[in-house]
Amino acid sequence: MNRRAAALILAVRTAEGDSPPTDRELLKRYADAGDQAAFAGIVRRHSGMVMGVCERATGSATEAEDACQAVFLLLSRKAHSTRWQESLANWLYTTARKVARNSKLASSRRTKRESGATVRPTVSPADAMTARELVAALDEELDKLPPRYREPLVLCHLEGLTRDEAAARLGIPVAILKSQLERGRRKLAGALAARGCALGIGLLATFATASTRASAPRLLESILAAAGGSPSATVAALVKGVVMNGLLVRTKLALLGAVGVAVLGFGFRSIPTGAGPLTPAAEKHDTKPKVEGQTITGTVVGPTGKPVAGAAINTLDKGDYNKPLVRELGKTNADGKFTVTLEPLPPGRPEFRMLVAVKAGFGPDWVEAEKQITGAVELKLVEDLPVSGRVVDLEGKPLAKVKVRITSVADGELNKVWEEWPRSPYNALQAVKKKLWLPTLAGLPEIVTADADGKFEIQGVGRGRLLGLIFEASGIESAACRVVLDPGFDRKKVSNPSEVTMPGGGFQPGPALYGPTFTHTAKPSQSITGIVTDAKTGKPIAGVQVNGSPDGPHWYENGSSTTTDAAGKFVLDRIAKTDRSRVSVFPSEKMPYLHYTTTIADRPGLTEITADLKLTRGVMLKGRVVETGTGKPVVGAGIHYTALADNKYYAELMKGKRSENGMGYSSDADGRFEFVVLPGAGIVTAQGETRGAIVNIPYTQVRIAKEDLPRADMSRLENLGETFSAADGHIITLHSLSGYTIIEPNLTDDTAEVTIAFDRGQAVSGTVLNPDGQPANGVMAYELTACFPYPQKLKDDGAFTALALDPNQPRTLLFVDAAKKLSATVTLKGDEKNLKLKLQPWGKLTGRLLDADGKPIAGARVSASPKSNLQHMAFSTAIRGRTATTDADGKFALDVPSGPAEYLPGFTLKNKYLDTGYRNENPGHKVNAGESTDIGEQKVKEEN
Amino acid sequence: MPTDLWAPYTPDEKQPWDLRRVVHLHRRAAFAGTWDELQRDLKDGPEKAVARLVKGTANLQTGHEFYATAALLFDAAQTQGEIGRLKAGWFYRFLFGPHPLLEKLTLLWHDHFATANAKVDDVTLMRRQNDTLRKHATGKFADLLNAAVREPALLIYLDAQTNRKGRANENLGRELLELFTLGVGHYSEADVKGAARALTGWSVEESQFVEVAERHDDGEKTILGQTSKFNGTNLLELLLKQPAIAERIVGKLAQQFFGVNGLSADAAQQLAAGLRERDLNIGWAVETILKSKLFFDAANIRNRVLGPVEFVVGTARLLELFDPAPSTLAMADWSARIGQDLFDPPNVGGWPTGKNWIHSRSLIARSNYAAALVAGPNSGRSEPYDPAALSKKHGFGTKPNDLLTYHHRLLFGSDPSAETMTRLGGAAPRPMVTALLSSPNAQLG
Repeated sequence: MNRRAAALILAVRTAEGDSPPTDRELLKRYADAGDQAAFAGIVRRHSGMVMGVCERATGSATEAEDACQAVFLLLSRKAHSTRWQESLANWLYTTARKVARNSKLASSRRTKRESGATVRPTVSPADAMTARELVAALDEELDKLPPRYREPLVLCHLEGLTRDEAAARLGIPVAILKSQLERGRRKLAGALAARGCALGIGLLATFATASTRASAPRLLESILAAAGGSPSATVAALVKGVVMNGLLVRTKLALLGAVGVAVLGFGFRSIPTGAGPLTPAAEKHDTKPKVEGQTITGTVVGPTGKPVAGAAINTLDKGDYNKPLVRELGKTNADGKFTVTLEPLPPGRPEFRMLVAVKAGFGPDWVEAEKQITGAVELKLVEDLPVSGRVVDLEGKPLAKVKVRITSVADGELNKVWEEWPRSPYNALQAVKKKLWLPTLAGLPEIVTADADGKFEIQGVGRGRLLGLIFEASGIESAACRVVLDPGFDRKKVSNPSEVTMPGGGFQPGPALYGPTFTHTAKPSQSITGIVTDAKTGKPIAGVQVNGSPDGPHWYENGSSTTTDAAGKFVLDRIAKTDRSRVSVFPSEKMPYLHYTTTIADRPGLTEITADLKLTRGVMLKGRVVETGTGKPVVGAGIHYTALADNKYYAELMKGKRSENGMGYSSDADGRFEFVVLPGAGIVTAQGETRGAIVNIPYTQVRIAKEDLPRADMSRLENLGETFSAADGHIITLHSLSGYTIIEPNLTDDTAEVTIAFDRGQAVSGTVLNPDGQPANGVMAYELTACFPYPQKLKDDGAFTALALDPNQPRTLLFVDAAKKLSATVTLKGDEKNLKLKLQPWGKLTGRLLDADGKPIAGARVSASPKSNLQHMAFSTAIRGRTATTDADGKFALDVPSGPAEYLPGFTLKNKYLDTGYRNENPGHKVNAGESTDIGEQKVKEEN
Repeated sequence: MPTDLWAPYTPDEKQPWDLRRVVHLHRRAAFAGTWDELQRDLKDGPEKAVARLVKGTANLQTGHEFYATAALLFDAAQTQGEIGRLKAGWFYRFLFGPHPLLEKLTLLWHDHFATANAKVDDVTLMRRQNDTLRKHATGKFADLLNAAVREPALLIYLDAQTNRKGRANENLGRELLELFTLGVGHYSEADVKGAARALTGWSVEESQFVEVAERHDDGEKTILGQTSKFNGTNLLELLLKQPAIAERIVGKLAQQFFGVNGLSADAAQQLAAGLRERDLNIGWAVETILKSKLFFDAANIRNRVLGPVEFVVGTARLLELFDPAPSTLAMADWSARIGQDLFDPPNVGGWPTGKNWIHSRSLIARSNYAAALVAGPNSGRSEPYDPAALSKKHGFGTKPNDLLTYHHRLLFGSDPSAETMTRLGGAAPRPMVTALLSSPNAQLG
């Protein structure tokens, strides 16, 4: 799935805060626009009830979960076709009953399972003996009720809504709901009594809260994965997928994390501008792609600006990035000056190096080598501030010998981080651009060990910095934190993210945050052990990587990883106790097995969990990426594989599992790649190199081939582009990809081969002029390239070149001088010559915001986004983060670039989204140059 | 002058101050006693034993820098937004706190003002509510009630935000009358409607209790026979004047300190009258109960089912599993599996108590917990429980019969019957202890 498109779409949509009031509206948004956030909202509302129904019918949490996922998968498919006359809850209830009933798996598997270990409803005494019979009767009788009586019962009793909530959900007056509810209750009670069930509808209440509570949080994610998103790009996926580790993995983590996160529906709110791999800052476009054999001179100064003698200048050795080595290039002289030479990199290797100034007693300073280093570099050391930590368990006892891994040092405006934190800790941390991913470059140890009293100290990070740590020891959760090197840091002043601030199923907590003196309270781990075997032969398999993490929302760095021993055994002993864990298996590259992820329920207390994992053989796919015409290899292309919805082997081979769709592979120096895929229909997608130094992908946006149209889904062109449906239910979009091919290996094939061709398309040059006709200076250009375009800052001659244009897919570019609030826009096909574009003043979007009681809302943040995300991506990117604030009278005026984009407003107040219903009910508004477009009074809908 | 049914207990030949009564006191008013605590109280007599519990000095084993650690654990739960940590943090207080009676009462009020994080979904607010309940747990009920019903967690749980002028949501008003103050039979449906109107405008903004004037229904309401322009505060004042409220408090305390129907109507009424005279002082009522003849009456001993939290914590305490202690996170998990998931009661009525705690599933879970505690790892302890070591430490022998006698006295304050001796005397030490802890009698206290 294309990550950026989804990320941006979701980011924009959710950022503006359409928190939808009714199921039907949510469903419509999903059906019309593929809005994953809307779908997640539906899942969140109803998964508890659906899970409850499935659990009761199958008697097993695991089977119920399968059934539950199936129900939502059906919903995702049916969303478009069905005319929703009835309430969604009712449809889900009925479908869940059908699915669960038809689940043939249930009976055969049931006996093996430990009931009680997985299901934890609060059990009333009456159900202890005859629960199954009573509940079966209840469900059967509910089935028989006419929908209008069943709906209120399902909502109020199985989903645990209040009457007011239920009425709002069904869109009927409370009085009518109450009467329907009463009549439904009477009918049901009568029917149950007739069957000799004295307890009657009291049962409903017993099961309602229990199922809702037990299932909703942990289920959400798996359902979304099955029906709408794709599973997480875990750390493992990265290690395996990108054939790198150490430094590069961490850097890559940032990118795949961001992207995986976006696909998943985690933290997708405001992906930083140009969020693609490595998210380089915009100004980097002025830089040369590589610094080769360059001699660099500079000065190192102390906190007060005085030169520092004897400071070491370190960098990463150009050798094997898999085992990063620190190299000292030289030291400063008595005047604090240095001259060092960076060796050239071997061709094709991305530039990740930094120059780091280090001197004992100070915090380091650093600069990225990929930034143009011309003239003298000044590196400013900062005052040191010791970090003093302690690790205790949840019983307050010090934990000796815990390994404290130092993972990163970052430097930036921390106030902005805390401001963004509740909306997404991930994005908040990503926005801090100055990062030292390999702290050993600054002379910091890789690991410090806690003493007998659980204490440890770290020096040489520097005041004002953000220090990344991970606590590691057998028996405790491997958990990350960020230490804020500010003695005045008050954790309680940083608001936590929640499902309110990260709505639509996107909630992801952040790492723990500590001041410079702190105590980390380590959670105990609940071990998962097992054997990895060949599904067919039953033979144990050594050397397989097994990763574990909580299945619910969790910070991405928290998790456990290990490798199977000679007997195929593994022990994951650093994973927090949680309702459900996610376990991923990654055979090494040479092994012909498919990787997959599955989930496992916890056991009481800290009882060890056992999970035997079976590997299935797949087909080895060998491929190559080349340029059309020249046949030249494309190096470093990102390759992804996804099984398609019509894959006839998927259901059987991936039963109870899912594949890591976030897994990416890279083409080598000859453009070649190799990995294992499923037999049957699948799609291999490819995108230009986006790692390392700034790359403007010079290739066109791929278009769907005629012969593939029958299996494609063209219903989401406006927001997702051309798409296919994956076997696990998620959507694969071709947006921002430069090539793809569909494969269909046979079950008996050992290998398959593919070639993917990238096209460079047309280039058009032109000049951006000021309103006075002179060349514009320092304008930001959006969408100069077709795939993963980064905003680029033009030079003072206003000249630009747009690459990879395709006459069949005109592209809208935007040029912006944000300081002067000027912009120009043009749509190019590739045959234009000698363009001159004149900047024009922006326009304004104005209106007034009122609360549900009609009172003006002051201090709300107002933002806007274009209605058509793909077509007007340039506008979307350019105005992201641009907000206006409502005045005391609720009035606002937001400056936006004029042009073809049709804007929709979004409102937030103190991180809470205000839903005015406007976005769902109205077309967007164009804004003319220098004019205001008024959208009138916007009234926030009442909370349900 | 009617008889004082709440006369203090003074030991005599018929009702001696024996180990059985000391065990009873600790199991009901604390989380079970260790052997040393039991012996100390046996020696010092009931007056001192009760005084220590009331003052919060009964526990000999308290956590290192207890208050700082307890705050650290709650802070971590709050800042990381993890309800699991909050549960574990409370179990830390149960297991290591110096004031078990206060924690028990806090748990009782959590049950009374039941609020579930499943709906509230805000650890900061759940922690805040817990702190508030603890603060007022032994104070005047007026203070407790006034604080508790203004807790944002409770207001969110009962949808106070949607209770507006013209569109009253009766949840809060109904539960206030039915559960928090008067009880069924002491109000009418019309009173519920009036109360709901009085409470319109009560809401939560930025995690704080607020009264939104625009949403308040300022009109006249008739509640419990009185007509006035009631607002929320006036309503609480009115409720606190109702005689039924004292009976409701006594009922709640009886749930903790007496078995089901263990308190006669006369005794309940007398205690309620005393409460009314003392401004509904909860601490006075609790102390009166613990000092009373009724509390120590033979009929009141082992006639009450221990709640899951009481069982989980008490079992660990009496076996002196302090270092290493079982994992508090695991204890919280077990308690949930046995039927009491802290901060997540099944509904606003709280947990179904008494005999309702016992059914086949919960009994199996209790037994599994006992086994895990004795075996070690599954409860988060690196080593198994050593029955002989503890028995020896307290001057008992290490032969099977000695071990059985020690543990039987520790649990029940009495020697094993001949039948028990025959059944368990020959068992290996750990299985014997597990069997004893899983026995029906061990679920009482």
